[in-house]
Amino acid sequence: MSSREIAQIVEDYLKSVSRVLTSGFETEDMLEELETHINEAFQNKVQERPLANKIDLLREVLNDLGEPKEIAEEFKRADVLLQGPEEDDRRTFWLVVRFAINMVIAVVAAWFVSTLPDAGVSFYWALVVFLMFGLA
Amino acid sequence: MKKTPSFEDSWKVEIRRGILQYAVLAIVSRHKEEGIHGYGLARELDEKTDGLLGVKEGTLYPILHRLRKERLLNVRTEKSEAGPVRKVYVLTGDGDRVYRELTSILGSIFDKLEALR
Repeated sequence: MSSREIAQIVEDYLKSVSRVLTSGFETEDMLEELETHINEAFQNKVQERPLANKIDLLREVLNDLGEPKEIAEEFKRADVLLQGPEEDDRRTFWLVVRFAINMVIAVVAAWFVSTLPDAGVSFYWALVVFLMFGLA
Repeated sequence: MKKTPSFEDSWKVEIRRGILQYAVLAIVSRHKEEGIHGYGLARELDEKTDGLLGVKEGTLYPILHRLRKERLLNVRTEKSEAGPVRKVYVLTGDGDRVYRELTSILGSIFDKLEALR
């Protein structure tokens, strides 16, 4: 058992948590907090029981923290409670704005491609292709 | 085969969720001046409640995150004994007001429930 092995177990745990959470600044923030928590809890357990197997102590720490799925569920729940109807309205507004911008870009790009002398592409055909790219 | 949780188990989960946010505010409130970090909070919660709430420590962080977003808690950083910088939570003015209000509501609820027994 080495400190590298311990670091690997911690890294694996944090990766599992990260996989079940949506990516973002807040997730990174929480992962950092979990890492600090693990280090402190582990050092504390080692001080309390210096003769115990360190891997076992680390497993205890991770078990006390909970399954990544449990943390993710609580995180999602907290986020849902924070997002009221205003947040939904804001999200819809930005979706509409994004769609409108995509439309304008697609029309301009289709017009440009259709005016190229050697392209041989019709405006509507180019528009459909650019819209598909924009919506993807 | 997946075991369906009993009525008591589901009830405990629901009750625990509501109480946990209050318990976090209560513990942070006990450390008004110096604040408290996540691990310290988890330990104190376990010690003071004798593990009654059966909280998985990792689930406290989403709750702390929510209370911060609701501007009931503030965060500052300090160097931890384990090395890296850690976050320390303190109650905001709003947090203190909400905590006192919840304490009063809970007191009334328990009084009324007592009368029902």
